[in-house]
Amino acid sequence: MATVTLKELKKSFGKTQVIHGIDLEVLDGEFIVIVGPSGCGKSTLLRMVAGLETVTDGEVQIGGERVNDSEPMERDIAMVFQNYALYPHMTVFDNMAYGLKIAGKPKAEIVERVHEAAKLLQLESYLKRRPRELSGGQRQRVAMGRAIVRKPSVFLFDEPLSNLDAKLRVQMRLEIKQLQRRLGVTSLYVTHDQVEAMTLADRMIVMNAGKADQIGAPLEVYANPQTQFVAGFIGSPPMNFLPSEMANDAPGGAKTLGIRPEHMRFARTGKEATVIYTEALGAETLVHVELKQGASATIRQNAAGPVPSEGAVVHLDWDAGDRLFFDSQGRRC
Amino acid sequence: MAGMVERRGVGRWMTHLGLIVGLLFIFFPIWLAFVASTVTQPEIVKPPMPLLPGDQFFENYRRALISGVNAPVGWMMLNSLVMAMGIAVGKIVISLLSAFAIVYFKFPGRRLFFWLIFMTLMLPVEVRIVPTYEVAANFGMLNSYSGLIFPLIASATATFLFRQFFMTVPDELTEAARVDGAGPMRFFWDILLPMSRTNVAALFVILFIYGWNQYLWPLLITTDPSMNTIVMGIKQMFPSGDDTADWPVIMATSILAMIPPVIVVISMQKLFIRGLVDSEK
Repeated sequence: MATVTLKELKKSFGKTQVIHGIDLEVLDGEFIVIVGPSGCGKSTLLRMVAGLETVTDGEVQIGGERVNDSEPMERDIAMVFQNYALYPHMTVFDNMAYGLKIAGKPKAEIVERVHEAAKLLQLESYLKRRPRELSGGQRQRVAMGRAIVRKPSVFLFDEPLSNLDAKLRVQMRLEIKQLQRRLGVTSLYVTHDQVEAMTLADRMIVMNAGKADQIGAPLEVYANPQTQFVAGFIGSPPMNFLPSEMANDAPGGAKTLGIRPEHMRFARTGKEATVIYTEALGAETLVHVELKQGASATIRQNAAGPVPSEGAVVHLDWDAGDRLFFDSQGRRC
Repeated sequence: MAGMVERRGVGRWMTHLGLIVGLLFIFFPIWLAFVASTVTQPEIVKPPMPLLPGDQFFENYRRALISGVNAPVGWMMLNSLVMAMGIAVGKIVISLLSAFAIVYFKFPGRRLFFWLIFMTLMLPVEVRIVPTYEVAANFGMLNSYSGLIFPLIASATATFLFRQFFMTVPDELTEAARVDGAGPMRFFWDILLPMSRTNVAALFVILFIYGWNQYLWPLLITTDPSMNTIVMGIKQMFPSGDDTADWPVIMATSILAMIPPVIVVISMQKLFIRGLVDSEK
């Protein structure tokens, strides 16, 4: 158990700066999800905490101690990789025991700890198998088992679920969350999937081009995004962005008006729009429209309600309280 | 793979016929050598040559193994075995380590060293044989196992092969090992080496045969018959001038010289093929 602190953390590869100074305080036992589009530097950030990338500037602290120059092993962390990174020639048992073996733990303790972790992950009957004889989900569990047996103070997850199919991903997501709750280990989790971020995180960091655009609890970030990027990235379908002139009372400097698809509704009067096409998803229907002003928008409509046909002219309305305004820099105003 | 190209009827018979003829064509000289090693000297020189084995098998092989012509064949085989094993094992160890250094460590001149090694691929033993002989002689390595082995022990081919293999090992595996606390040599020993197992086996077969079949180098470096290797030894058995060649013993020696490489190939065939075709890691 430990806290993780990042202070003004920066990273450059040659002359290209990829992380532009990140500050973060992770509390003991907290589950932090780092989310962002590919290339935003989220994996690099995690790898700097792990010690797999050098720190260009700033400081990484684990449990209050500066670890900038320590080897990964000395940082008391465990990492779960995207491709599992299991040792192909070792059995599941050996894969999980390898770190302990190197640490020179007594054999009896290794056996006990591996069995304990295997029990937790329902891997007991697979201990003698090799990774290639396991399914994707089982491999993923072994990778987590390898992390758990070491009883680290911090778990680092680097997109651990992105190689699994959609159904398994949902299942493993739940398992990871439960496991983390039960073990109470501080965790950093990198993903590009905003659903994973929303469901797993105690707090999430939304990263954009090497900067942390916003750090906060998932629902707080969703309801109150600090930048236009965060507003557009979190939420699916993404927030609708309209020119701010469409609101009569836009604050000064506002350029863009943002409204979530679920906050738009069809009304008798309001902004006129043409329905381009509709996507029925079962419980809800997404209606894509083009406004008279040329902007396009998506409305999330409960499937129980009436759904306009394609090509129909509709009127849109929304509550003033659901509007978000962004300036030309993409900041909230 | 079986049945990928399916042939029926006549095509199938023709394929088999072709294979059988080819096989007989290659096998016939070996058969003749075997027959010649089981008959007496007069029977060989009197035309027509016999095509069926005679009754001198044990006698001829006993003579070859124990006394030979210049040196006992048993002794020469031991020399060959030491040389071939030394070359194969030495080449594998050195090229594994150098490939490991080239792929996993950043040091100045890394690319330069790689290309220098790579360039030596273009220089076969024969091209550098005079300077190599000079060096070996100055080190006092003539007529010794070290002289037979060390000059041939560096292998650009094997280094290149292992380099290519190491580059296909995912980086995440290296990182996982680092997180697990394995240092570089521990990683090499515990993870990289077991993963290269099939490649090592394939190379061992190739290099063992390469070492076993060395002819020119042992011929130069050994003058003492007790240090002769079997492949060059066969040639040494040919008489100079008007002496009659002891053909049954020479042929028995040839057959004996074939046995170890055949054993190596057959016993390691499975690993060998996997090492060459397997991409599973």
